[in-house]
Amino acid sequence: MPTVYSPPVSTYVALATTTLASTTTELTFSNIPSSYRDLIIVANFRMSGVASATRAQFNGDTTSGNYPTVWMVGTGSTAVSSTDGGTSMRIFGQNAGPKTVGQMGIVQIMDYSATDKHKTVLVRYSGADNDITAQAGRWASTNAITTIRLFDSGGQSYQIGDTFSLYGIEA
Amino acid sequence: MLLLGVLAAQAEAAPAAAGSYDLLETEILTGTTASVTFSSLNSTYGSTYQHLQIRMVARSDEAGSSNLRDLRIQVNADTGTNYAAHVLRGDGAGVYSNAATSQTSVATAMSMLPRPSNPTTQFGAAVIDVLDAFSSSKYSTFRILGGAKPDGEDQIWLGSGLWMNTNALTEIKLFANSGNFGSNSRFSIYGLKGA
Repeated sequence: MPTVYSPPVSTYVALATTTLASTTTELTFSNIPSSYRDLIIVANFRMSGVASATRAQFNGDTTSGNYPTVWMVGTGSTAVSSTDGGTSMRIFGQNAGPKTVGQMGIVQIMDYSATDKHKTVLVRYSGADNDITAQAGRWASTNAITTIRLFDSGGQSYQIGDTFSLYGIEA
Repeated sequence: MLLLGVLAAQAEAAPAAAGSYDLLETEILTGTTASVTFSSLNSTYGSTYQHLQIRMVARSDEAGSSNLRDLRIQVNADTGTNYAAHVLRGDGAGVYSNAATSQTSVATAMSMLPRPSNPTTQFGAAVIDVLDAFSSSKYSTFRILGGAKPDGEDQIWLGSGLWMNTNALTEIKLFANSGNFGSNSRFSIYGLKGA
């Protein structure tokens, strides 16, 4: 039987947010508490040029193969599904190309604090000049997530005015 | 590099009074179960919340092949052929679309439940939105983002479900197309208030 919370627990708590005052090639959410169940990243951004993809890395883990991912992407002319792996998780922008206008993405990191599960990640991403994507990934670690590093694998910069927010969801 | 520390005030604060997005119920399985049901929804929450969201992390207990098992949704104990569903999905090789009408549940190709051939640390996940869940003038619609990436399997999908009845939701039942949900699966339901 489900546990009923009475009164209900207000959640969707803003843990960190930033509006960039200068360009940067990467940003990191750090000191993430383990007191929530899920994390949500909400991003609204542009890149400085032809970008590859925004990637995420958890807890500084650079182990190759720890970030298996499957996605499907529509570009306006084709619909494609593929997989990825490597030393980080590709999250925003599966179609390499210009990302200099509005890009929006929401990342659901499920059970991020559970120490008996790998971390399942679901992503919806929309690139106004590029593609629309849905994605499922897994961080192959049972460690609770304490840091999330976001960066573009092509070395492009996020722009002034870009916003990135991290929310905690209780369960 | 920009370092965004988590704001200490938010991180350490006690839960606030109920706001616009509230955790209502959670079930974490200590064993296997055929279904998870959230009940008494309208009587308990209908006067306060407008929309519902279910967040789940789950796996299957059904041994055999490694194919992922599918999610099914049934509401108000209605087992009639009053449901329809559509899915846009990718499996790492191609993008496909599935549809099913006149079904006994929201059901089509919503594959997301790893099976015992995958390690017990590997789960699938879904976020299910039910807008206007307590309206008595609309059919109930479900918008779902789901998928899984356990070893050897690949599924990501966008799902749309429909219950062709205008009754307010009193019960939401989640189950698999075959087998049971596995141990340590987690199901949480949230209420969203209207303005």
